[in-house]
Amino acid sequence: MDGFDENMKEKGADFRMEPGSEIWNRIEKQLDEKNQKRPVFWLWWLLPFILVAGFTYWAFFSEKGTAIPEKSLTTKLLPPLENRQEKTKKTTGQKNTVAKVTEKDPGQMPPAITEKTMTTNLLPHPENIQEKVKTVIGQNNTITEVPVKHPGQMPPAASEKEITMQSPFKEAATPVFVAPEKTKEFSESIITLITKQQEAEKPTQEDSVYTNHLSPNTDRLTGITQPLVGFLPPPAEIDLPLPTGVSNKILDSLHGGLTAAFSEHAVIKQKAQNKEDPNEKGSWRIIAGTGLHNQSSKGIGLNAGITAFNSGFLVNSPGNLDSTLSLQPTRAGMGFTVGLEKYGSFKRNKRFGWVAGFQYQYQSIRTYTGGLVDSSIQFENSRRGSNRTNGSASEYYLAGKNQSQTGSQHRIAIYTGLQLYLDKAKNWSWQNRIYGGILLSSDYLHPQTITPGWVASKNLVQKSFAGLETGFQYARGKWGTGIFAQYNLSASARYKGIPKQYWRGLELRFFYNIPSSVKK
Amino acid sequence: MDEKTILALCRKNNRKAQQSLYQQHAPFMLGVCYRYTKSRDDAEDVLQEGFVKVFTQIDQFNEKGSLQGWIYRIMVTTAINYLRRHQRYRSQMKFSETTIHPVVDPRGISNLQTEDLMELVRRLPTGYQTVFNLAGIEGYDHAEISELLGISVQTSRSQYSRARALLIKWVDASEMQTRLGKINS
Repeated sequence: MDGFDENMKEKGADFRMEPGSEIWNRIEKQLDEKNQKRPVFWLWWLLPFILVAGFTYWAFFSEKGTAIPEKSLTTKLLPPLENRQEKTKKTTGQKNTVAKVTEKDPGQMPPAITEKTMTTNLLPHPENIQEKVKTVIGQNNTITEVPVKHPGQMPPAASEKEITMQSPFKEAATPVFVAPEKTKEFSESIITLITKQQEAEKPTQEDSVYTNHLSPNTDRLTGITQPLVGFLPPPAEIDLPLPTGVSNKILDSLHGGLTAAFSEHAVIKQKAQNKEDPNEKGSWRIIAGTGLHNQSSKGIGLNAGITAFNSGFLVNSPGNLDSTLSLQPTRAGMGFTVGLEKYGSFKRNKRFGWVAGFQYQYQSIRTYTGGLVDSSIQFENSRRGSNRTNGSASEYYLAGKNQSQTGSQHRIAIYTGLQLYLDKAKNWSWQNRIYGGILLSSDYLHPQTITPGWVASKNLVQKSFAGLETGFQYARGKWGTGIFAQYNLSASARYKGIPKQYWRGLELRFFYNIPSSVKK
Repeated sequence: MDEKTILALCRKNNRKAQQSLYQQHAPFMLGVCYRYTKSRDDAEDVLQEGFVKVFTQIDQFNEKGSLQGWIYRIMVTTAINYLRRHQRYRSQMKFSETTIHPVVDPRGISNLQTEDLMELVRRLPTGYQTVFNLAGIEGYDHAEISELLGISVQTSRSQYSRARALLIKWVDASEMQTRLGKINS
């Protein structure tokens, strides 16, 4: 080392500068911002678990999740046709009553005269309507004294016109009027009256938007969404909670403001999406893996029968009691997984990535029913043909350890998850996924010494399942590998008797990153 | 407060201790940042960014080496990343191999003020400036520099020689001007 280099080092080590006082303030501010962001970061990790817990509760434990019978739906949504016709008849029996009702209240009636609005948001419950109409009939033309039950929430215009409307859930822009089966004169007078009122109170475009947003649409309550009905309040009971003194104009302006805000947000989001960033677009990869899986199911069933009494030949069954305690472990068996997924980085935090895809899993199973204890006690008095059994207990079966069944399971699932990159090169990552799907299982019985009636045999049993998966993976270039552990719960919404199954698995997976065809 | 106490408190996110650590090391670190950049504003930006890293990653300091050395490394890395990130520096960060000319040491380097010498270093093209700072002042070897900047060892060596030759030339010229000024006065 010569003099120049030594001198440079010495002088470099001595060189100091006094920073401005505002720099520390800037550092402090930046540190505060980082500290505030930390809790939100951890909440993101909680999100998958909350989603899985919610879905599991909904799918397996909530009784509300089951579909409501069509009959009860109809009752809640719409008064039966017979009732409506009956009301019409009663009301039309009082001539001039209708005219007075509709003439008295037009100022108070909400402007939205669409069918949907009138029978869902604005009309009270069908029983209440009936009560009101009766009051009108009873008081003979003294409409001004009709008591209003809920003035704040229920508009006073429970008029004849509303009652005689057709199904309120049709997508009709203009109200459809069904003339009551009475005289032609009366029908014409009603039509004229209603047409006039419609013209006077023609709904504006804003009103239509406003009401359409708030009205339930029963056309959507079909198929997959129908089970959700249990979670929602009955549509007919969705009232528009209009506090006294709040005009529709205020709500309209509020709605307008919200619409504008959402539109603006959509535009910004669209712009952001259009921005080029190859990391956010994601890439595809094919997955194949194999591993060990094990499942178990357990359940306790208790069934108490009711007393039956047949007086013909006097068969008296005071009661029966069935109890089932089952524990079905399976031996860990090999299975395989194939799938296709897309993955990428988040825009704001490149340390995190997302992953979504679908996978198919195959698993052969062998179930032992060694833990099963099933007993039934029946008390029966019978005098038919002089047979008499009193207080007899019968054990249907007690399955031995040699009782087993084999079969196969097919799991088709979609999943989504978060991945945390563990190194700068993004070779190592920790993935956490939630997934759900359909499980199809086919069981084949081994020769049984006792007939176990509860075993599903030779048929595909359909169940739904949901679970969590976590794993570490290493990827470099086109190829990668990883080890994943999974846990899920499956149950059948269709066959109530089948116990829930808990599935655990450990898999070694390999994947191939499909190279992008467009390279910059 | 001694360094260990400050360090322990900084790990608990104690703002007073953080400020104390900042006040202790900021002047020297700003000097480092200043050598790598072309303006004081940029140097202060690097200093801010570097200290935020220091406080957020202080758990990673294993206390085997000196704290100043650890902060120093963070500042150098932050400065290099800053140069790469900003277009006005990136366009000047062109590393090419040049022929090494042996240069005789300047005589008057010891007479130059530190500030003047550092100003000369900052006048170098950014590529030369970075390599010279790393090799000539910080004492990195060329293998480390090549890894840090993503260039070959040979390129690092040639950049350093070129920077050194330029500096010696400028120091001589500066020394000459100083002497002439004295004679004239």
